[in-house]
Amino acid sequence: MSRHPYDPPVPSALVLTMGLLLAVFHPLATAQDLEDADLTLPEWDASEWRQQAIEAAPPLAGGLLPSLGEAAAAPATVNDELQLRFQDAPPQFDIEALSAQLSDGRAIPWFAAVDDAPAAASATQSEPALAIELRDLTPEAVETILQWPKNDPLVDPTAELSEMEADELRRFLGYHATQARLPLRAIVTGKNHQLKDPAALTAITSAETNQLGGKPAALLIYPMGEPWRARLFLPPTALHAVSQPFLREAVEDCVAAARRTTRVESQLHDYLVQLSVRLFWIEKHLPPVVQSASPEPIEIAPPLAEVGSGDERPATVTFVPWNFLVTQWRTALAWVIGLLAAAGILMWAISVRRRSRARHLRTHVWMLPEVDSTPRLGGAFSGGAGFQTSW
Amino acid sequence: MKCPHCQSLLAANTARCPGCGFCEQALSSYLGDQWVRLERLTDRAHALPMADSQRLLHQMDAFERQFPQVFLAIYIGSLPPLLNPVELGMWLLNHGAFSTHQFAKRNEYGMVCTLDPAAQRFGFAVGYALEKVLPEPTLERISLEMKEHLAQGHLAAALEGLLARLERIYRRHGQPQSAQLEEAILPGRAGNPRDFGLTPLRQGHQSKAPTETSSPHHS
Ligand SMILES: [Zn+2]
Repeated sequence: MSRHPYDPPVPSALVLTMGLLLAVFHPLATAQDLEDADLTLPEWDASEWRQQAIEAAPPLAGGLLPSLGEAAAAPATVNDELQLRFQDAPPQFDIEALSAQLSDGRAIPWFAAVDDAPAAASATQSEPALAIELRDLTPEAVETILQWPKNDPLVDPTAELSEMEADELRRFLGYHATQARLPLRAIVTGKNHQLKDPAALTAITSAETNQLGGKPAALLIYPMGEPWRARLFLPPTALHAVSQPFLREAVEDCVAAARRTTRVESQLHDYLVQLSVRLFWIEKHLPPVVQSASPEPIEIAPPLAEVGSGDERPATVTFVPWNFLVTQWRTALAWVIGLLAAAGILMWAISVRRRSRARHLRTHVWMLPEVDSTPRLGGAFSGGAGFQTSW
Repeated sequence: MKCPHCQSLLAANTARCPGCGFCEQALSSYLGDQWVRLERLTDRAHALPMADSQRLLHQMDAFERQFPQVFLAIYIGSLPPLLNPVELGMWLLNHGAFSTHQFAKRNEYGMVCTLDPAAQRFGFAVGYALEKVLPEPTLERISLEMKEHLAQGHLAAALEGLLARLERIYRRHGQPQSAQLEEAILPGRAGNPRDFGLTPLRQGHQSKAPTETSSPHHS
């Protein structure tokens, strides 16, 4: 009844399981880290114009910019510097000049960084609102939006943002408007809000409403905490200047940027930063005729068109598994390897359990309960309990 | 509890069946009251091929190691004409010295399975200590399972199935203990079972100068 010398003890089996799991999933984490590192650490040469770009770029650099929360905690950061710069002096940064210097997109360092990084699913994210939880924006809120000051790039009809956060975003959108041919207006709604009423949508997305500083603006309707439900509307000229897949990818990148953080305000911030970068990129494809010289007359301008308007929920990025598999083949591969490894570990664990059970049977005996028996029919040990039959 | 002879229901301490008058004394007057040696497997009918009986013996050995209190004796052969298989089983449990390496087995924990291939009859009798873990419905199920195999002529399969079923039942009802502990509790082979309050069966077997036959109706 001794233990078989080659039987592995159970604790070592556990350790081996953990080791295997680590071995399988650690490379995954490393790949993710590398992607993040790519995103936040763009590479550029130390030429003069690049230095200029670095100095001017921080507000637009997705990932280079500290999030709102971080900025609040550490006031003496680049944000304060920017605030001063935007209020006191005209910006030095000229996107056109930059674009002219290099023919490819890498002239804009932050953009190059973003472009190189595949859209990464965030590690943490809030629960998406269920369809039945979605409520239409109230008529009052719609009216508030329509009455909102025309020159304000940030529309917050239901007061989702604190004053400080709203100001921060206003400064950012204002800066974007001064630099970009496609300014950006953002309407912020509550987590469970949606805008389904066609009449309200038409009014809100009308070209009269969506212009900033005399330029037709892009419009983002953004439910707080639900970046994947955000809807982006672009002036038709911009919409037709680039391909649908390009726009879709742009929106997906914005969602991906937002999903990298869990704080809803930071999500909005990161979304806008990413969208700003993408709008600059779209701008490069705009036909020269539309250039500032003769802006379209507002009265006859067609209303904004929604990005990917062929779909039911156009700007919504759905993280369906097959889409995920195609766009993130590395993750998919890791999943496949992980599943195979898990299956192997499971089978191995079963065999270990079986062996351990066999050992238990070998090394143990079972004692039946003692009973005080009353003899019957004169039998000392048995009273003839049992059965008899024939076959 | 039922009378093994007429199946009448019996009270706990009935000395004689009120229905048919059956009792141990009646059996002894027929088969004798001497001690007999109970082998694990007695195949007087030569119904089991060598390989089958060998495999069965291995299984019985493993069974006994797992359940130190319990033993099973299998008798295959023609039965005394006036007795049914359970009656013979009862008599063997009350008069048998079970042949085993360990003498810690008490006959209350004994089981006897009797099979008569010629008459196509079989029976199973248990000692008092096993009546709780082998209630009527369980016994019935065992009987049906065995019958299925026996009807197809698979004698060895029937007996192996019986052992496997008993293993599962006893493991469910028993308390597992490490084998080492068990050996520490039980007396060594040189010890006297009487010192440990164990069965005097072996002692009786020796003092009564038993017959060495493995078949009761020869004596
Ligand atoms: Zn009776």
